Amino acid sequence: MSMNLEREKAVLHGTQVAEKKSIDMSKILFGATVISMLVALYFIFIFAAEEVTMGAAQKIFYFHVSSAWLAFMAFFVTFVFSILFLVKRKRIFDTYAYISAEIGVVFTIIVLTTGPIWAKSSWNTWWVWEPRLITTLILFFIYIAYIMIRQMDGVWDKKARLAAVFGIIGFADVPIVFFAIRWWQTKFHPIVFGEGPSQKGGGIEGTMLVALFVSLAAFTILYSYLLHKGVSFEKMKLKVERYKEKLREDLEK
Amino acid sequence: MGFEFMYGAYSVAWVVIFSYMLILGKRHSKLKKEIEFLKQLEK
Repeated sequence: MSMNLEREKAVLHGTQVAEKKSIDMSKILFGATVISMLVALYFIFIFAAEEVTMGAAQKIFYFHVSSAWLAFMAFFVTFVFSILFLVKRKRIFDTYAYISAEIGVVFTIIVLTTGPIWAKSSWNTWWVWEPRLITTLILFFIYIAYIMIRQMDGVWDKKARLAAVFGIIGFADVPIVFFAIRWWQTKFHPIVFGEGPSQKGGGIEGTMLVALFVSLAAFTILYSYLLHKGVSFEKMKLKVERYKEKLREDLEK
Repeated sequence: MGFEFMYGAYSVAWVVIFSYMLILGKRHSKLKKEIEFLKQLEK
Protein backbone atom coordinates (compact mmCIF):
# COMPACT_ATOMS: atom_id res chain seq x y z
CA MET A 1 0.00 0.00 0.00
CA SER A 2 1.41 3.37 -0.94
CA MET A 3 2.51 5.99 1.59
CA ASN A 4 -0.11 8.35 0.21
CA LEU A 5 -2.94 5.94 0.94
CA GLU A 6 -1.60 5.30 4.45
CA ARG A 7 -1.61 9.03 5.06
CA GLU A 8 -5.14 9.42 3.73
CA LYS A 9 -6.26 6.49 5.85
CA ALA A 10 -4.85 8.22 8.92
CA VAL A 11 -6.72 11.35 7.90
CA LEU A 12 -9.93 9.34 7.54
CA HIS A 13 -9.48 7.90 11.02
CA GLY A 14 -8.68 11.40 12.19
CA THR A 15 -12.05 12.38 10.73
CA GLN A 16 -13.76 10.22 13.30
CA VAL A 17 -11.85 11.87 16.15
CA ALA A 18 -12.56 15.30 14.72
CA GLU A 19 -16.19 14.29 14.29
CA LYS A 20 -16.42 13.42 18.00
CA LYS A 21 -15.10 16.86 18.95
CA SER A 22 -17.44 18.42 16.43
CA ILE A 23 -20.40 16.50 17.88
CA ASP A 24 -19.64 17.94 21.33
CA MET A 25 -19.56 21.47 19.92
CA SER A 26 -22.70 20.72 17.90
CA LYS A 27 -24.49 19.55 21.04
CA ILE A 28 -23.57 22.74 22.90
CA LEU A 29 -24.71 24.92 20.01
CA PHE A 30 -27.88 22.87 19.53
CA GLY A 31 -28.75 23.19 23.23
CA ALA A 32 -28.10 26.93 23.12
CA THR A 33 -30.28 27.22 20.00
CA VAL A 34 -33.21 25.33 21.53
CA ILE A 35 -33.07 27.32 24.78
CA SER A 36 -32.70 30.69 23.04
CA MET A 37 -35.55 29.86 20.63
CA LEU A 38 -37.86 28.91 23.52
CA VAL A 39 -36.93 32.14 25.32
CA ALA A 40 -37.54 34.11 22.10
CA LEU A 41 -40.99 32.49 21.66
CA TYR A 42 -41.84 33.38 25.26
CA PHE A 43 -40.83 37.00 24.65
CA ILE A 44 -42.71 37.17 21.34
CA PHE A 45 -46.00 35.57 22.39
CA ILE A 46 -46.27 36.35 26.10
CA PHE A 47 -43.97 39.21 27.05
CA ALA A 48 -44.39 41.58 24.07
CA ALA A 49 -47.50 43.74 23.95
CA GLU A 50 -50.02 43.10 21.19
CA GLU A 51 -50.21 45.79 18.55
CA VAL A 52 -53.61 47.54 18.59
CA THR A 53 -54.30 47.84 14.84
CA MET A 54 -52.82 44.61 13.46
CA GLY A 55 -53.39 42.35 16.44
CA ALA A 56 -51.69 38.94 16.42
CA ALA A 57 -50.49 39.33 12.81
CA GLN A 58 -47.96 41.93 14.00
CA LYS A 59 -46.05 39.12 15.74
CA ILE A 60 -44.88 37.97 12.28
CA PHE A 61 -42.55 40.98 12.49
CA TYR A 62 -40.17 39.30 14.99
CA PHE A 63 -39.40 36.26 12.84
CA HIS A 64 -39.50 38.24 9.60
CA VAL A 65 -36.96 40.83 10.78
CA SER A 66 -34.78 38.22 12.52
CA SER A 67 -34.68 36.09 9.35
CA ALA A 68 -33.68 39.15 7.33
CA TRP A 69 -30.97 39.93 9.89
CA LEU A 70 -29.67 36.36 9.73
CA ALA A 71 -29.67 36.37 5.92
CA PHE A 72 -27.76 39.69 5.80
CA MET A 73 -25.26 38.40 8.34
CA ALA A 74 -24.83 35.15 6.39
CA PHE A 75 -24.20 37.03 3.15
CA PHE A 76 -21.72 39.29 4.95
CA VAL A 77 -19.84 36.20 6.16
CA THR A 78 -19.86 34.88 2.57
CA PHE A 79 -18.49 38.24 1.42
CA VAL A 80 -15.67 38.20 4.00
CA PHE A 81 -14.71 34.56 3.39
CA SER A 82 -14.86 35.04 -0.38
CA ILE A 83 -12.28 37.84 -0.08
CA LEU A 84 -10.18 35.69 2.25
CA PHE A 85 -10.36 32.80 -0.22
CA LEU A 86 -9.24 34.95 -3.14
CA VAL A 87 -6.32 36.30 -1.09
CA LYS A 88 -5.16 33.14 0.71
CA ARG A 89 -6.58 30.39 -1.56
CA LYS A 90 -7.41 28.12 1.37
CA ARG A 91 -10.27 25.69 0.82
CA ILE A 92 -11.68 26.18 4.32
CA PHE A 93 -12.51 29.83 3.53
CA ASP A 94 -14.40 28.68 0.47
CA THR A 95 -16.32 26.12 2.55
CA TYR A 96 -17.37 28.78 5.07
CA ALA A 97 -18.45 31.12 2.25
CA TYR A 98 -20.51 28.39 0.58
CA ILE A 99 -22.30 27.13 3.70
CA SER A 100 -23.00 30.67 4.86
CA ALA A 101 -24.53 31.55 1.46
CA GLU A 102 -26.69 28.44 1.66
CA ILE A 103 -27.98 29.44 5.11
CA GLY A 104 -28.55 32.98 3.81
CA VAL A 105 -30.71 31.63 0.98
CA VAL A 106 -32.75 29.50 3.41
CA PHE A 107 -33.53 32.53 5.56
CA THR A 108 -34.21 34.74 2.55
CA ILE A 109 -36.91 32.17 1.67
CA ILE A 110 -38.41 32.77 5.13
CA VAL A 111 -38.24 36.55 4.58
CA LEU A 112 -39.91 36.19 1.17
CA THR A 113 -42.70 33.97 2.48
CA THR A 114 -43.49 35.62 5.81
CA GLY A 115 -43.34 39.06 4.12
CA PRO A 116 -46.31 38.44 1.78
CA ILE A 117 -48.32 36.93 4.68
CA TRP A 118 -47.69 40.14 6.60
CA ALA A 119 -48.53 42.14 3.46
CA LYS A 120 -51.85 40.36 3.03
CA SER A 121 -52.85 41.08 6.61
CA SER A 122 -51.59 44.63 6.63
CA TRP A 123 -51.79 45.94 3.04
CA ASN A 124 -54.49 43.54 1.78
CA THR A 125 -52.27 42.31 -1.03
CA TRP A 126 -49.69 39.51 -1.20
CA TRP A 127 -47.10 41.40 -3.19
CA VAL A 128 -46.32 44.99 -4.15
CA TRP A 129 -43.57 45.93 -6.58
CA GLU A 130 -41.87 48.35 -4.21
CA PRO A 131 -38.08 48.90 -3.81
CA ARG A 132 -37.46 46.72 -0.76
CA LEU A 133 -39.39 43.74 -2.07
CA ILE A 134 -37.79 43.96 -5.50
CA THR A 135 -34.25 44.29 -4.13
CA THR A 136 -34.84 41.38 -1.73
CA LEU A 137 -36.05 39.21 -4.59
CA ILE A 138 -32.94 40.18 -6.60
CA LEU A 139 -30.79 39.28 -3.57
CA PHE A 140 -32.44 35.87 -3.45
CA PHE A 141 -31.76 35.23 -7.15
CA ILE A 142 -28.14 36.39 -6.84
CA TYR A 143 -27.41 33.81 -4.15
CA ILE A 144 -29.44 31.11 -5.92
CA ALA A 145 -27.06 31.74 -8.85
CA TYR A 146 -24.14 31.52 -6.41
CA ILE A 147 -25.29 28.06 -5.28
CA MET A 148 -25.86 27.00 -8.89
CA ILE A 149 -22.25 27.90 -9.68
CA ARG A 150 -21.21 25.57 -6.87
CA GLN A 151 -23.27 22.73 -8.33
CA MET A 152 -21.72 23.07 -11.80
CA ASP A 153 -19.43 20.44 -13.23
CA GLY A 154 -15.80 21.40 -13.50
CA VAL A 155 -12.58 21.97 -11.65
CA TRP A 156 -13.15 22.84 -8.00
CA ASP A 157 -10.68 25.73 -7.94
CA LYS A 158 -12.25 27.45 -10.94
CA LYS A 159 -15.76 27.12 -9.52
CA ALA A 160 -14.63 28.40 -6.13
CA ARG A 161 -12.96 31.46 -7.69
CA LEU A 162 -16.01 32.27 -9.77
CA ALA A 163 -18.31 31.79 -6.77
CA ALA A 164 -16.06 33.99 -4.62
CA VAL A 165 -16.27 36.83 -7.15
CA PHE A 166 -20.04 36.33 -7.25
CA GLY A 167 -20.20 36.34 -3.44
CA ILE A 168 -18.32 39.63 -3.28
CA ILE A 169 -20.28 41.42 -6.01
CA GLY A 170 -23.60 39.96 -4.83
CA PHE A 171 -23.12 41.42 -1.38
CA ALA A 172 -23.50 44.91 -2.91
CA ASP A 173 -27.26 44.26 -2.96
CA VAL A 174 -27.46 43.86 0.84
CA PRO A 175 -27.00 47.58 1.71
CA ILE A 176 -29.33 48.43 -1.19
CA VAL A 177 -32.05 46.24 0.38
CA PHE A 178 -31.48 47.86 3.76
CA PHE A 179 -31.47 51.46 2.52
CA ALA A 180 -34.17 50.95 -0.16
CA ILE A 181 -36.93 52.35 2.04
CA ARG A 182 -34.76 55.30 3.01
CA TRP A 183 -33.57 56.16 -0.50
CA TRP A 184 -36.87 55.76 -2.36
CA GLN A 185 -40.31 56.97 -1.45
CA THR A 186 -42.32 54.06 -0.13
CA LYS A 187 -45.53 54.03 1.82
CA PHE A 188 -45.47 50.29 2.53
CA HIS A 189 -42.39 49.41 4.56
CA PRO A 190 -42.28 51.52 7.71
CA ILE A 191 -38.94 52.86 8.95
CA VAL A 192 -38.76 51.58 12.51
CA PHE A 193 -35.40 53.09 13.42
CA GLY A 194 -34.21 56.51 12.24
CA GLU A 195 -35.76 58.82 9.68
CA GLY A 196 -36.31 58.62 5.95
CA PRO A 197 -37.70 60.71 3.10
CA SER A 198 -41.15 59.13 3.28
CA GLN A 199 -41.81 59.14 6.96
CA LYS A 200 -40.24 59.61 10.33
CA GLY A 201 -39.03 56.60 12.24
CA GLY A 202 -42.13 55.30 13.97
CA GLY A 203 -40.20 53.73 16.80
CA ILE A 204 -41.26 50.61 18.60
CA GLU A 205 -42.89 49.97 21.96
CA GLY A 206 -40.53 48.94 24.80
CA THR A 207 -41.62 45.30 25.26
CA MET A 208 -41.72 44.78 21.49
CA LEU A 209 -38.15 46.07 21.20
CA VAL A 210 -36.97 43.65 23.90
CA ALA A 211 -38.73 40.75 22.11
CA LEU A 212 -37.11 41.78 18.84
CA PHE A 213 -33.61 41.82 20.34
CA VAL A 214 -34.13 38.45 22.05
CA SER A 215 -35.34 37.05 18.74
CA LEU A 216 -32.32 38.49 16.91
CA ALA A 217 -30.01 36.87 19.48
CA ALA A 218 -31.79 33.50 19.09
CA PHE A 219 -31.44 33.64 15.31
CA THR A 220 -27.75 34.53 15.60
CA ILE A 221 -27.19 31.41 17.75
CA LEU A 222 -29.20 29.34 15.25
CA TYR A 223 -26.95 30.67 12.50
CA SER A 224 -23.77 29.65 14.33
CA TYR A 225 -25.22 26.17 14.90
CA LEU A 226 -26.16 25.69 11.25
CA LEU A 227 -22.82 27.09 10.05
CA HIS A 228 -20.85 24.83 12.37
CA LYS A 229 -22.87 21.78 11.33
CA GLY A 230 -22.66 22.55 7.61
CA VAL A 231 -18.92 23.26 7.66
CA SER A 232 -18.09 20.11 9.65
CA PHE A 233 -20.01 17.97 7.12
CA GLU A 234 -18.23 19.65 4.22
CA LYS A 235 -14.86 19.00 5.88
CA MET A 236 -15.77 15.35 6.40
CA LYS A 237 -16.95 15.05 2.80
CA LEU A 238 -13.68 16.48 1.57
CA LYS A 239 -11.63 14.00 3.59
CA VAL A 240 -13.70 11.06 2.36
CA GLU A 241 -13.32 12.23 -1.25
CA ARG A 242 -9.55 12.57 -0.87
CA TYR A 243 -9.31 9.11 0.62
CA LYS A 244 -11.39 7.61 -2.19
CA GLU A 245 -9.18 9.32 -4.76
CA LYS A 246 -6.03 7.90 -3.21
CA LEU A 247 -7.63 4.49 -2.94
CA ARG A 248 -8.49 4.61 -6.64
CA GLU A 249 -4.91 5.67 -7.51
CA ASP A 250 -3.53 2.86 -5.39
CA LEU A 251 -5.76 0.25 -7.02
CA GLU A 252 -4.76 1.42 -10.49
CA LYS A 253 -1.06 0.89 -9.74
CA MET B 1 -57.55 39.17 15.11
CA GLY B 2 -54.98 38.16 12.51
CA PHE B 3 -54.29 34.82 14.14
CA GLU B 4 -54.50 32.91 10.84
CA PHE B 5 -51.73 35.09 9.36
CA MET B 6 -49.56 34.68 12.44
CA TYR B 7 -49.95 30.89 12.50
CA GLY B 8 -49.39 30.72 8.74
CA ALA B 9 -46.17 32.73 8.88
CA TYR B 10 -44.72 30.87 11.87
CA SER B 11 -45.61 27.50 10.35
CA VAL B 12 -43.87 28.39 7.09
CA ALA B 13 -40.79 29.64 8.97
CA TRP B 14 -40.47 26.44 11.04
CA VAL B 15 -41.09 24.20 8.03
CA VAL B 16 -38.26 25.94 6.13
CA ILE B 17 -35.87 25.76 9.13
CA PHE B 18 -36.60 22.08 9.83
CA SER B 19 -36.37 21.17 6.15
CA TYR B 20 -32.87 22.64 6.00
CA MET B 21 -31.91 20.76 9.17
CA LEU B 22 -33.28 17.59 7.58
CA ILE B 23 -31.14 18.20 4.48
CA LEU B 24 -28.08 18.60 6.74
CA GLY B 25 -29.00 15.39 8.54
CA LYS B 26 -29.28 13.51 5.25
CA ARG B 27 -25.85 14.78 4.20
CA HIS B 28 -24.46 13.47 7.48
CA SER B 29 -26.00 10.01 7.21
CA LYS B 30 -24.80 9.72 3.61
CA LEU B 31 -21.25 10.52 4.72
CA LYS B 32 -21.46 8.06 7.61
CA LYS B 33 -22.55 5.31 5.22
CA GLU B 34 -19.65 6.15 2.92
CA ILE B 35 -17.14 6.00 5.78
CA GLU B 36 -18.56 2.64 6.90
CA PHE B 37 -18.25 1.35 3.34
CA LEU B 38 -14.63 2.49 3.12
CA LYS B 39 -13.87 0.82 6.44
CA GLN B 40 -15.31 -2.43 5.12
CA LEU B 41 -13.23 -2.03 1.97
CA GLU B 42 -10.09 -1.65 4.09
CA LYS B 43 -10.75 -4.98 5.76
